Amino acid sequence: MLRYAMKRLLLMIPVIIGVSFLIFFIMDLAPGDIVDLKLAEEGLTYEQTEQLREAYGLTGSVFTRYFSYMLNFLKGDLGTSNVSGRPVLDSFLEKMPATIVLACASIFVSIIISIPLGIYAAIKRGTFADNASMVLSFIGLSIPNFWLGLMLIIVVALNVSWLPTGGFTKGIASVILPAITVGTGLTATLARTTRSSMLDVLSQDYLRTERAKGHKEFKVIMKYALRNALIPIITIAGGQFAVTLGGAVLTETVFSWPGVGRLIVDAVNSRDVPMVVGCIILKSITIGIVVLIVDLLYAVIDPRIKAQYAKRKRKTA
Amino acid sequence: METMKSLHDPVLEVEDLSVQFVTEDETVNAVNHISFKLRKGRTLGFVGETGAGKTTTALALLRLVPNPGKVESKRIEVCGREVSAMTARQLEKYRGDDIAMIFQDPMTALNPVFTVGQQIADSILLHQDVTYGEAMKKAEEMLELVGIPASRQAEYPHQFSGGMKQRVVIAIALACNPEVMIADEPTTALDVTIQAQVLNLMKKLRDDRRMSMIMITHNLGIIADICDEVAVMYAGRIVETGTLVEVFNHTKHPYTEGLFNSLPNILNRTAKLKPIPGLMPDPSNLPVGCAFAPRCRYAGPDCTCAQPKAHWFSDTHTVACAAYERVGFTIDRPEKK
Repeated sequence: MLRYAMKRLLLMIPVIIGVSFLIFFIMDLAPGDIVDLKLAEEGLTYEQTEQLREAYGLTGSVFTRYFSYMLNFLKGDLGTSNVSGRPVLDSFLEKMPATIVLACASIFVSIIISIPLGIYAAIKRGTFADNASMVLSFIGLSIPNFWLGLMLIIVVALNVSWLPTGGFTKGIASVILPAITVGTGLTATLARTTRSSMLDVLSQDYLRTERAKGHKEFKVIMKYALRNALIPIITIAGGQFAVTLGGAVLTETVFSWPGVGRLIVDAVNSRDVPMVVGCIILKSITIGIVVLIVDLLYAVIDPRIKAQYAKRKRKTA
Repeated sequence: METMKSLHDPVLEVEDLSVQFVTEDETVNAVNHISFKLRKGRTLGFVGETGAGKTTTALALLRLVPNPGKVESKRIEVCGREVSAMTARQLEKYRGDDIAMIFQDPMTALNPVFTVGQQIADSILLHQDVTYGEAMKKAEEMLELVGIPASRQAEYPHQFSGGMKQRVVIAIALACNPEVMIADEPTTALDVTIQAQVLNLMKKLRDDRRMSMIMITHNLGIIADICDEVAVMYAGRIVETGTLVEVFNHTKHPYTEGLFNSLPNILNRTAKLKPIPGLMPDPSNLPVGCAFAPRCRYAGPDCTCAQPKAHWFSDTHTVACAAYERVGFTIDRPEKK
């Protein structure tokens, strides 16, 4: 298990190299740089722009610049923002708590709604309740995030003023609306996954064995069936959680949420190359770790998968 | 007096049990008006082809017939209690404690994400007033009892072979010492050498614990080996029932005869097998008369108009065949002494 986790962590190195090069290259292809923006704003002379380019490290080919960037990255230096002049890592870590709070809150909201809903739909398969909950989840899946966010602001924040319209200044009250906004689509996806996974498990013979032992139907479903249905559910939930950890750009914008998503978008708009590249590398590391945790959770849930990891270990050793 | 009573009173009595599966397109009559009794310490064998309704009958006894199954009966009494009148809570108490079932396919009957020890202890925890530790200890004893080292209790079903899984299934069923055990083709999924081991194990456990047992199989050899009484099922009905000797040596029903004829004869290896021609009728479209008539070589016009009445050949031996209305009718299979 530990060996497997180490191997997976090592595999993240090529991923980081690939992601960083790609983003570096794309940012270079985009027309205009930070100096052009300053030129438009402040009206600099040609010499001044050349000096500025030198200072920002914008001279030389994209490969040499990428190489020196990665050299610094290895030393733990992700560069400084061209706009604010602050270290990229500091800015990222400063925005991370808000993003983590939002991701956790939205995944929490969607799990407590979607899993019971999916189980209920699976048990009541083919009935009105099943169809109704699936139609509901289809609607949830189709609603655009930004629209739902705006509607929630208008109704809950402005009309009845129960909750703040945005920002992350009023503690838990300010998390509720963004969490619902991000969580709605997630809930819909998870409910559908739970339903189909449960349907698959509910037809299995071993549940009949559990019932024949005299277990309560509730326990048969919630313990013996659900545990077997969990793998697809945590795959989807984990993937969505990882994506949200990378920043929910639209929702963060609508609710002026001080998260990583907005940090990256702002950096792209101002051609702040070190900020963009640094944030995306950190984001991909975060996603990689969450996906790894999900994979390790498989082994906790299903002993057959754990046995596979153990077998792999024996082969490589 | 009390002991005499308990010896002769049936632990299980079923009267006029029917199970239907009703869907939008059709109604499948899986079990049709069957009645039988099982006395304490005795073993009743249900024999018949695939689809004859044997497993459905067993599931009806546990009230585990899956949707959209509908169970109707005059009486299903186990240990003197009416099963169809039980509340959900009474049912939970009844299943596993009074009656337990060994399921057909050990490959799928065990939950893949719990250890075998947990799965056995589960049942004990439900029905007995013990702590978790005591239940686990009892589970280990059960494993030893079925011939699996107790040290393997922490392993998962995928780490066991088919025969061992079946032993685990047996251990789960026996964990709470049920009055009645139903074994649904317990050896069908196993290879022949393991079959004998599992059967001997079941026989031993049954005798040690003086359990009553229902053995469901399509294998006449197993019936002969383990049962005291036999019920032959065809298309959801019991066509012949009696003691082992009555059914095997004084066979009366043409279908039972057909079953025996389709067995290979070890004394005459060159003899051709005589299979019963045709197939069992579609249970969603059963004929008005005897369901076996289309395949029966003794069938006459009297067979197809109404359900055959039961003919009693002794206190225990009943045959549902209309041909016995004809004077002097016998089947070809000779009587054995």
